[in-house]
Amino acid sequence: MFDDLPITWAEFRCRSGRAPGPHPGIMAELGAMIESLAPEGIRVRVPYQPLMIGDTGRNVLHSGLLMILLDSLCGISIIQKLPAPASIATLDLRVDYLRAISAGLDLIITGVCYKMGRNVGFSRGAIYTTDPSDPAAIANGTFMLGTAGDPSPLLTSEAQGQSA
Amino acid sequence: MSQPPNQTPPNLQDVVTGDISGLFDAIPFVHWLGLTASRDAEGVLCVMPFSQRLIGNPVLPALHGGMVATFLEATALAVVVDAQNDPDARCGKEIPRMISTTIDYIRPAGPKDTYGRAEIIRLGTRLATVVATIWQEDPARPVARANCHFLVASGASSASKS
Repeated sequence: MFDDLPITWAEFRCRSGRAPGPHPGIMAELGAMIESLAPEGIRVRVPYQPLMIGDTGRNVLHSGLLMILLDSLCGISIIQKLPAPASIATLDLRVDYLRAISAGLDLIITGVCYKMGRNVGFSRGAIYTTDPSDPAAIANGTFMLGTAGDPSPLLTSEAQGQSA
Repeated sequence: MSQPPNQTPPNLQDVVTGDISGLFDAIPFVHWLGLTASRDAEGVLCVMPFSQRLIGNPVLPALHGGMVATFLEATALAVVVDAQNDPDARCGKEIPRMISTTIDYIRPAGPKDTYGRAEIIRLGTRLATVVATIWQEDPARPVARANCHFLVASGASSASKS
Protein backbone atom coordinates (compact mmCIF):
# COMPACT_ATOMS: atom_id res chain seq x y z
CA MET A 1 0.00 0.00 0.00
CA PHE A 2 2.96 2.31 0.64
CA ASP A 3 5.57 1.07 -1.83
CA ASP A 4 5.70 4.34 -3.77
CA LEU A 5 7.02 6.72 -1.11
CA PRO A 6 7.37 9.64 -0.81
CA ILE A 7 3.65 10.52 -0.75
CA THR A 8 1.80 13.56 0.52
CA TRP A 9 0.26 13.64 3.99
CA ALA A 10 -3.22 13.82 2.45
CA GLU A 11 -2.55 10.72 0.33
CA PHE A 12 -1.23 8.91 3.41
CA ARG A 13 -4.38 9.73 5.37
CA CYS A 14 -6.57 8.62 2.49
CA ARG A 15 -4.81 5.28 2.02
CA SER A 16 -4.88 4.69 5.80
CA GLY A 17 -8.68 4.81 5.67
CA ARG A 18 -8.91 7.91 7.83
CA ALA A 19 -11.94 10.04 7.10
CA PRO A 20 -11.22 13.44 5.55
CA GLY A 21 -12.44 16.56 7.32
CA PRO A 22 -13.57 19.93 5.97
CA HIS A 23 -9.93 21.08 6.18
CA PRO A 24 -6.97 18.97 4.96
CA GLY A 25 -5.26 19.38 8.34
CA ILE A 26 -2.23 21.35 9.40
CA MET A 27 0.30 18.72 8.28
CA ALA A 28 -1.13 18.64 4.76
CA GLU A 29 -1.28 22.42 4.72
CA LEU A 30 2.38 22.60 5.72
CA GLY A 31 3.25 20.37 2.76
CA ALA A 32 4.42 17.33 4.75
CA MET A 33 5.73 14.42 2.65
CA ILE A 34 5.93 10.88 4.04
CA GLU A 35 9.40 9.56 3.16
CA SER A 36 9.49 6.35 5.18
CA LEU A 37 6.97 4.20 7.03
CA ALA A 38 9.45 1.58 8.23
CA PRO A 39 8.45 -0.28 11.42
CA GLU A 40 11.60 1.01 13.12
CA GLY A 41 10.61 4.62 12.47
CA ILE A 42 8.55 6.98 10.36
CA ARG A 43 10.22 9.88 8.54
CA VAL A 44 8.50 12.99 7.17
CA ARG A 45 9.92 16.01 5.34
CA VAL A 46 8.34 19.46 5.70
CA PRO A 47 9.54 22.28 3.42
CA TYR A 48 10.33 25.67 4.92
CA GLN A 49 7.72 28.44 4.64
CA PRO A 50 8.06 32.03 5.95
CA LEU A 51 4.95 31.61 8.12
CA MET A 52 6.94 29.17 10.30
CA ILE A 53 9.10 31.93 11.79
CA GLY A 54 8.88 32.46 15.55
CA ASP A 55 11.46 35.18 16.13
CA THR A 56 12.03 37.62 13.28
CA GLY A 57 15.05 39.13 15.04
CA ARG A 58 16.95 35.83 15.25
CA ASN A 59 15.25 34.47 12.10
CA VAL A 60 14.45 31.11 13.69
CA LEU A 61 11.42 28.82 13.53
CA HIS A 62 8.62 28.86 16.11
CA SER A 63 8.62 26.28 18.92
CA GLY A 64 4.88 25.65 18.54
CA LEU A 65 5.38 24.55 14.95
CA LEU A 66 7.90 22.00 16.21
CA MET A 67 5.37 20.72 18.77
CA ILE A 68 2.76 20.29 16.02
CA LEU A 69 5.21 18.29 13.92
CA LEU A 70 6.38 16.18 16.87
CA ASP A 71 2.85 15.47 18.12
CA SER A 72 1.87 14.39 14.60
CA LEU A 73 4.85 12.07 14.17
CA CYS A 74 4.58 10.58 17.66
CA GLY A 75 0.88 10.04 16.93
CA ILE A 76 1.15 8.40 13.53
CA SER A 77 3.93 6.12 14.76
CA ILE A 78 1.27 4.75 17.12
CA ILE A 79 -1.56 4.76 14.57
CA GLN A 80 0.64 2.64 12.28
CA LYS A 81 0.89 0.00 15.05
CA LEU A 82 -2.86 -0.25 15.69
CA PRO A 83 -4.29 -3.62 14.57
CA ALA A 84 -7.48 -1.86 13.40
CA PRO A 85 -8.29 1.79 12.70
CA ALA A 86 -9.20 3.78 15.82
CA SER A 87 -8.89 7.30 17.13
CA ILE A 88 -6.07 8.15 19.49
CA ALA A 89 -5.66 11.15 21.79
CA THR A 90 -2.48 12.74 23.14
CA LEU A 91 -2.25 12.19 26.89
CA ASP A 92 1.18 13.63 27.56
CA LEU A 93 3.81 15.33 25.41
CA ARG A 94 7.25 16.42 26.51
CA VAL A 95 9.50 18.44 24.20
CA ASP A 96 13.10 19.54 24.70
CA TYR A 97 14.34 22.33 22.44
CA LEU A 98 18.00 21.47 21.91
CA ARG A 99 18.83 24.26 19.48
CA ALA A 100 17.11 26.87 17.35
CA ILE A 101 16.35 26.12 13.68
CA SER A 102 17.33 28.85 11.22
CA ALA A 103 14.80 29.81 8.57
CA GLY A 104 15.18 28.33 5.12
CA LEU A 105 15.95 24.64 5.63
CA ASP A 106 13.62 21.66 5.10
CA LEU A 107 12.68 19.93 8.35
CA ILE A 108 12.98 16.18 8.81
CA ILE A 109 10.78 14.74 11.55
CA THR A 110 11.02 11.17 12.79
CA GLY A 111 8.66 9.21 15.01
CA VAL A 112 8.94 5.75 16.52
CA CYS A 113 6.54 3.82 18.72
CA TYR A 114 8.42 1.84 21.35
CA LYS A 115 5.52 0.31 23.29
CA MET A 116 1.89 -0.49 22.59
CA GLY A 117 -0.18 -1.37 25.63
CA ARG A 118 -3.88 -2.14 25.55
CA ASN A 119 -4.93 1.38 26.53
CA VAL A 120 -1.81 3.46 26.03
CA GLY A 121 0.92 3.77 23.40
CA PHE A 122 4.35 5.33 23.93
CA SER A 123 6.46 7.01 21.27
CA ARG A 124 9.44 9.25 20.64
CA GLY A 125 10.02 11.91 18.04
CA ALA A 126 12.86 14.11 16.81
CA ILE A 127 13.39 17.00 14.39
CA TYR A 128 16.57 17.72 12.49
CA THR A 129 17.55 19.63 9.39
CA THR A 130 20.55 18.03 7.71
CA ASP A 131 22.24 15.79 10.28
CA PRO A 132 20.22 13.13 12.17
CA SER A 133 22.85 13.15 14.91
CA ASP A 134 22.24 16.87 15.54
CA PRO A 135 18.53 17.05 16.46
CA ALA A 136 16.96 20.46 17.13
CA ALA A 137 14.11 19.09 19.25
CA ILE A 138 13.17 15.75 20.75
CA ALA A 139 9.85 14.58 22.17
CA ASN A 140 8.28 11.83 24.23
CA GLY A 141 4.59 11.25 23.60
CA THR A 142 1.99 9.16 25.40
CA PHE A 143 -1.31 8.46 23.66
CA MET A 144 -4.63 6.96 24.71
CA LEU A 145 -5.66 4.24 22.27
CA GLY A 146 -9.28 4.72 21.31
CA THR A 147 -11.47 7.59 22.40
CA ALA A 148 -15.05 7.92 23.63
CA GLY A 149 -17.24 6.13 21.10
CA ASP A 150 -14.20 4.76 19.26
CA PRO A 151 -12.64 2.23 21.66
CA SER A 152 -9.17 0.75 21.56
CA PRO A 153 -8.89 -2.22 19.19
CA LEU A 154 -6.33 -3.65 21.59
CA LEU A 155 -8.69 -3.54 24.59
CA THR A 156 -11.08 -5.85 22.78
CA SER A 157 -8.35 -8.19 21.59
CA GLU A 158 -7.87 -11.38 23.62
CA ALA A 159 -4.44 -11.85 22.11
CA GLN A 160 -2.78 -9.09 24.10
CA GLY A 161 -0.85 -9.79 27.28
CA GLN A 162 -1.35 -7.73 30.40
CA SER A 163 -0.06 -4.21 30.00
CA ALA A 164 -1.06 -0.61 30.41
CA MET B 1 -1.78 26.96 -0.28
CA SER B 2 -1.44 29.21 2.75
CA GLN B 3 -1.59 32.92 3.10
CA PRO B 4 1.69 34.69 3.84
CA PRO B 5 2.08 36.32 7.24
CA ASN B 6 2.11 40.10 7.55
CA GLN B 7 4.53 41.52 5.05
CA THR B 8 6.32 43.51 7.73
CA PRO B 9 5.73 42.00 11.17
CA PRO B 10 6.58 44.29 14.06
CA ASN B 11 9.97 43.74 15.65
CA LEU B 12 9.61 41.36 18.56
CA GLN B 13 12.08 43.29 20.69
CA ASP B 14 9.96 46.45 20.33
CA VAL B 15 6.85 44.57 21.39
CA VAL B 16 8.59 43.06 24.40
CA THR B 17 8.91 46.56 25.81
CA GLY B 18 5.43 47.61 24.73
CA ASP B 19 1.78 46.57 24.90
CA ILE B 20 1.13 42.83 25.29
CA SER B 21 -1.75 42.94 22.81
CA GLY B 22 0.71 43.38 19.94
CA LEU B 23 2.89 40.44 20.95
CA PHE B 24 1.36 37.69 18.81
CA ASP B 25 1.27 39.91 15.71
CA ALA B 26 5.07 40.05 15.96
CA ILE B 27 5.40 36.24 15.87
CA PRO B 28 4.59 35.13 12.29
CA PHE B 29 3.56 31.56 13.12
CA VAL B 30 1.35 32.57 16.05
CA HIS B 31 -0.15 35.40 14.01
CA TRP B 32 -0.91 32.94 11.20
CA LEU B 33 -2.83 30.74 13.65
CA GLY B 34 -4.86 33.78 14.77
CA LEU B 35 -4.01 33.74 18.48
CA THR B 36 -4.59 36.91 20.53
CA ALA B 37 -3.38 38.19 23.90
CA SER B 38 -4.81 41.00 26.01
CA ARG B 39 -4.76 42.29 29.57
CA ASP B 40 -7.82 42.26 31.81
CA ALA B 41 -8.45 42.63 35.55
CA GLU B 42 -7.12 39.12 36.22
CA GLY B 43 -3.96 39.47 34.13
CA VAL B 44 -3.14 38.26 30.65
CA LEU B 45 -5.89 36.41 28.76
CA CYS B 46 -5.07 34.58 25.54
CA VAL B 47 -7.56 33.33 22.98
CA MET B 48 -7.24 30.73 20.22
CA PRO B 49 -10.31 31.35 18.00
CA PHE B 50 -11.58 28.13 16.45
CA SER B 51 -10.80 27.45 12.82
CA GLN B 52 -10.90 24.22 10.83
CA ARG B 53 -7.12 24.44 10.49
CA LEU B 54 -6.79 23.56 14.20
CA ILE B 55 -8.53 20.17 13.85
CA GLY B 56 -6.36 17.07 14.29
CA ASN B 57 -9.09 14.43 14.34
CA PRO B 58 -12.03 15.27 12.06
CA VAL B 59 -14.01 12.21 13.22
CA LEU B 60 -14.51 13.28 16.84
CA PRO B 61 -13.81 16.19 16.01
CA ALA B 62 -10.96 17.33 18.25
CA LEU B 63 -8.21 19.95 18.11
CA HIS B 64 -4.73 18.78 17.09
CA GLY B 65 -2.56 18.00 20.13
CA GLY B 66 0.18 20.18 18.67
CA MET B 67 -2.21 23.13 18.35
CA VAL B 68 -3.14 22.74 22.00
CA ALA B 69 0.59 22.67 22.78
CA THR B 70 1.30 25.75 20.68
CA PHE B 71 -1.47 27.70 22.42
CA LEU B 72 -0.19 26.68 25.88
CA GLU B 73 3.35 27.81 25.02
CA ALA B 74 2.13 31.07 23.52
CA THR B 75 0.07 31.77 26.64
CA ALA B 76 3.08 31.07 28.88
CA LEU B 77 5.24 33.34 26.69
CA ALA B 78 2.73 36.20 26.86
CA VAL B 79 2.68 36.11 30.66
CA VAL B 80 6.49 36.12 30.86
CA VAL B 81 6.76 39.05 28.42
CA ASP B 82 4.08 40.93 30.36
CA ALA B 83 6.11 40.46 33.57
CA GLN B 84 9.31 41.54 31.81
CA ASN B 85 7.53 44.74 30.74
CA ASP B 86 7.46 45.89 34.38
CA PRO B 87 10.36 48.37 34.48
CA ASP B 88 10.97 47.47 38.12
CA ALA B 89 11.15 43.74 37.49
CA ARG B 90 14.58 42.37 38.37
CA CYS B 91 14.68 39.57 35.83
CA GLY B 92 16.16 38.65 32.48
CA LYS B 93 14.74 40.99 29.83
CA GLU B 94 15.64 39.15 26.66
CA ILE B 95 12.95 37.67 24.43
CA PRO B 96 12.15 34.35 26.15
CA ARG B 97 13.46 31.26 24.39
CA MET B 98 11.83 27.87 24.92
CA ILE B 99 13.95 25.29 26.73
CA SER B 100 11.36 22.60 27.38
CA THR B 101 7.64 22.03 27.71
CA THR B 102 5.69 19.22 29.36
CA ILE B 103 2.00 18.99 28.56
CA ASP B 104 -0.84 17.14 30.24
CA TYR B 105 -3.90 16.67 28.06
CA ILE B 106 -6.80 16.56 30.49
CA ARG B 107 -9.99 16.58 28.42
CA PRO B 108 -10.86 16.43 24.72
CA ALA B 109 -10.55 19.84 23.08
CA GLY B 110 -13.59 20.34 20.87
CA PRO B 111 -14.14 22.51 17.79
CA LYS B 112 -14.66 25.78 19.63
CA ASP B 113 -12.74 28.81 20.93
CA THR B 114 -10.07 28.12 23.55
CA TYR B 115 -8.89 30.45 26.33
CA GLY B 116 -5.64 30.48 28.28
CA ARG B 117 -4.00 31.96 31.33
CA ALA B 118 -0.63 31.26 32.91
CA GLU B 119 1.05 31.60 36.28
CA ILE B 120 4.72 32.38 36.70
CA ILE B 121 6.24 29.97 39.18
CA ARG B 122 9.60 31.71 39.11
CA LEU B 123 11.09 34.50 36.99
CA GLY B 124 14.81 34.84 37.56
CA THR B 125 17.72 36.52 35.84
CA ARG B 126 18.24 33.58 33.49
CA LEU B 127 15.23 31.27 33.76
CA ALA B 128 11.44 31.53 33.81
CA THR B 129 9.23 28.63 34.94
CA VAL B 130 5.57 28.96 34.01
CA VAL B 131 2.43 26.83 34.31
CA ALA B 132 -0.20 27.53 31.63
CA THR B 133 -3.79 26.30 31.67
CA ILE B 134 -6.32 26.40 28.84
CA TRP B 135 -10.07 25.78 28.78
CA GLN B 136 -13.02 26.10 26.42
CA GLU B 137 -16.32 26.72 28.19
CA ASP B 138 -15.55 26.50 31.90
CA PRO B 139 -12.26 27.69 33.43
CA ALA B 140 -12.80 25.08 36.16
CA ARG B 141 -12.67 22.33 33.51
CA PRO B 142 -9.28 22.77 31.82
CA VAL B 143 -8.59 20.88 28.61
CA ALA B 144 -4.80 20.96 29.03
CA ARG B 145 -1.99 22.26 31.19
CA ALA B 146 1.69 22.89 30.48
CA ASN B 147 4.87 23.37 32.45
CA CYS B 148 7.25 25.56 30.44
CA HIS B 149 10.86 26.61 30.98
CA PHE B 150 12.19 29.70 29.17
CA LEU B 151 15.67 31.19 28.97
CA VAL B 152 15.30 34.95 29.55
CA ALA B 153 18.99 35.91 29.40
CA SER B 154 21.87 34.14 27.75
CA GLY B 155 24.85 36.49 28.06
CA ALA B 156 27.98 35.55 29.98
CA SER B 157 27.36 38.48 32.34
CA SER B 158 24.37 36.71 33.84
CA ALA B 159 25.86 33.24 33.80
CA SER B 160 26.54 33.14 37.53
CA LYS B 161 23.41 34.90 38.79
CA SER B 162 20.58 32.46 38.26
